[in-house]
Amino acid sequence: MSVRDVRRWDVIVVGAGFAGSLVARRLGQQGWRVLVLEAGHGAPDVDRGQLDAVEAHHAALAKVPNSPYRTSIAAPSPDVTDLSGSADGTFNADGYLVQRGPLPYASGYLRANGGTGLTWTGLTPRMHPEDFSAGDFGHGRNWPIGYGDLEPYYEQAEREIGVAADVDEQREAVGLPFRDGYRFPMHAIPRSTLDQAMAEALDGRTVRDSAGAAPTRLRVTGTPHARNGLPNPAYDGGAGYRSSGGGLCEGRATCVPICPSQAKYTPLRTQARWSSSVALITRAVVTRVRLAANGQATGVEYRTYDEGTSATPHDLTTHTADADLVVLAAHAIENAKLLLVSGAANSSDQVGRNLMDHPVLLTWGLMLRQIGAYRGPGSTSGLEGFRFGPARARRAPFRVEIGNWGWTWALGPPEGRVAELLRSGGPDGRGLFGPELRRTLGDRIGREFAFQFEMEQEADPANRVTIDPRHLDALGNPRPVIHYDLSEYVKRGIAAAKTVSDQLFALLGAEDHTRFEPGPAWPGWFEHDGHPYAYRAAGHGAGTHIMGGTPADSVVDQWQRCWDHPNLYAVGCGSMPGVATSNPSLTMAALALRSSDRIHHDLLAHRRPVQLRGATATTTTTTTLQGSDHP
Amino acid sequence: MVTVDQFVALSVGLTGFDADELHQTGMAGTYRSVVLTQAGDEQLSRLVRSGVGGGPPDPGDEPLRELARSVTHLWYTGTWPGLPTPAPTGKPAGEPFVVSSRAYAEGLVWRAFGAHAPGTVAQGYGSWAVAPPDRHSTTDIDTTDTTDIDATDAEAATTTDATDIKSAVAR
Repeated sequence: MSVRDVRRWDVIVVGAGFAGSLVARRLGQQGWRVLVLEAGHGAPDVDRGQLDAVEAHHAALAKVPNSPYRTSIAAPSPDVTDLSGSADGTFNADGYLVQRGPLPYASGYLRANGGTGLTWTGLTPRMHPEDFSAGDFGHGRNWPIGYGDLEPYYEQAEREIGVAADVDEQREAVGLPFRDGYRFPMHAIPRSTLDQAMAEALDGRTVRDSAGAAPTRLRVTGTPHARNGLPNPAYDGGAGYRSSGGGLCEGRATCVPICPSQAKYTPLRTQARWSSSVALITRAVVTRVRLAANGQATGVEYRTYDEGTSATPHDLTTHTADADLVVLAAHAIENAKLLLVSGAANSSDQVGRNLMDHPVLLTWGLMLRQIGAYRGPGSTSGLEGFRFGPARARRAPFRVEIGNWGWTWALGPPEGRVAELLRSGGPDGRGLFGPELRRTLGDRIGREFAFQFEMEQEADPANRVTIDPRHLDALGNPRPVIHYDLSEYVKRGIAAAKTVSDQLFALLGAEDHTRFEPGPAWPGWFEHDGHPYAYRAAGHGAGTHIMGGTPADSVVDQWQRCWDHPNLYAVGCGSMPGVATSNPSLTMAALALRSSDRIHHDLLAHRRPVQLRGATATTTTTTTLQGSDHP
Repeated sequence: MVTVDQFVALSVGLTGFDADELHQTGMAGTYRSVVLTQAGDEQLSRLVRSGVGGGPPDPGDEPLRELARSVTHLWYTGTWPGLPTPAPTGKPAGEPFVVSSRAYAEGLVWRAFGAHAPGTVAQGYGSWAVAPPDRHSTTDIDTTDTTDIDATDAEAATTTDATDIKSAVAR
């Protein structure tokens, strides 16, 4: 649909990432005219963009999540390289985010067409039913909906993004309820050699994470993936599954930041299936949501720009677009920023507050024998037993990912070990060369592994995004100002995870190389009970437009609709009342699909009895949806 | 001017990979140019002369040893690590750079343990579930492989790991 043909849109979606692309697809499918505004760059065509991105990543000195992609000065992205630590244990931040501490918000995100969904790792565990009432354990908040409300949308999301997993394993080892006869679209992704070695040493053994606590029984469990595996013929009652794009996973081992075979789902795959009633404008930075006196959103204001090879954006033009309904889907931090700039949705004073992430404790070492490190997806299995149970009352729960890519996340790629041996290896400590260097690297690198403990961080109103007119970006838009800390609850979780790690290393007979020292590589360094720790972060920003049961203490309702503005939605991880321990993208997708149904219903109510447009919009669809909203 | 063959001969001593293996990467000429540009012919010639007996230069000559480290790092990673002293070309000292995406793919560090630079080679669905050869065990070596090894390779077997021979034969 040409942008020029439309004077007024049914829906404007701000952000062409994970949630925005899904909402646009659903609404476009139902015939609504949708304008999607993406602040960052888009590739001229998908395949050419992919080749450029792979090449850029291979040639990049620091191979970080954003390195394959063209970032923008007009719409800056925070990058993990913005942060560094100091010898005194403090940190420095010199990027887009203004970091007020006391600890750093250590995740990046990507403003580009496809968003952070281009760089994501592609792991798609569901939340555990208990996670929806995490507040009952005394930390954080409960959700206004339960697992059962989301379950049908988990199924839809698993179809939409294409999930490979073993339903029986997920039911038994994680304790997830599934509909009778449910199968995932694809068979589980094979377990890595490392997973197999872990299972051999760990399955059936128990560890304790603190004195007096009940021991946790270990079971190495396959993780659901949004990457192409072998289709399950039993899926969908025997109808089977056909991937919506990309090739079979080829084990190239760069899911983050880019999958060369496009086996990993990205939002570009959903965009390829947008109906003709959806239009996308890239390099369109939304500057505010326009609100009428009665609280209705009337559209947005946005600025387009050009960026050639010059360092400054040019050809800036300000536009307005009108719509019946506006959906913010720009990332948890960007959504909060836009709401704050617009003076919107904040009668609860919760906009920007409750910023959560998954702080990650890494521990790393060498297995006894070669386990083929640096092959396959970044993680194919985990230990799930620390995600739930009464221990949650005492310390943050965590999910343990078994890391297939050696020490990359902890210390960087093997280049660092080469440099270290050249500098200080050998009998005289002045460098190792020749056959001995080759032998030493050959022996060690293939035995590298890591555990990645992803900690739940509870909603805390003091962890927040604010704006400050003194801190503006190149376009004069406010940069997010971040106040962030880890609570005692999270720190106790990290300490517990370390004691679990110590026991795992002992059971494996593995050589533990974990060391946390303040310095450039560890901006997230801290001490707890006299022990040093450091965290990285998983890129799972959440909570900034928190969902709740009443307008008094939350920003959006269970449909991700702003309490204060009935036709303004804020979708994405920013709505999550708790970030749980599961990688959140699948839950974000399920929530987006659930909201899409509600938006469709809202639009029908507003526009009734206008006829629906588009081939797939039939009377039957309408009836079904209305029925499901009034059970 | 240091020739490609001289550069490769020097690199054999520094990296522990033989001349054929280094030539097979297709990077020898490029890396020689990189080192000439970054360090200058005089320094590289000195390093070549000092490396006649194989291996790294005298520990007493720290600048030369630093250059030996840089050349070895280049071969193992495809990245020029930078030098602590200014290069004669006027390029700022100590600026590391990746030579090319090809250089990244050919980094010897991956070959040292029988793997590939992430992102560069399609290894096949499920390849990550197949155990790699155990480098500590000699029982994995198939005798039909070792019989193919000629005298030169057998000599190399005394200095490198047995599984390297297997992969050399497979190539």
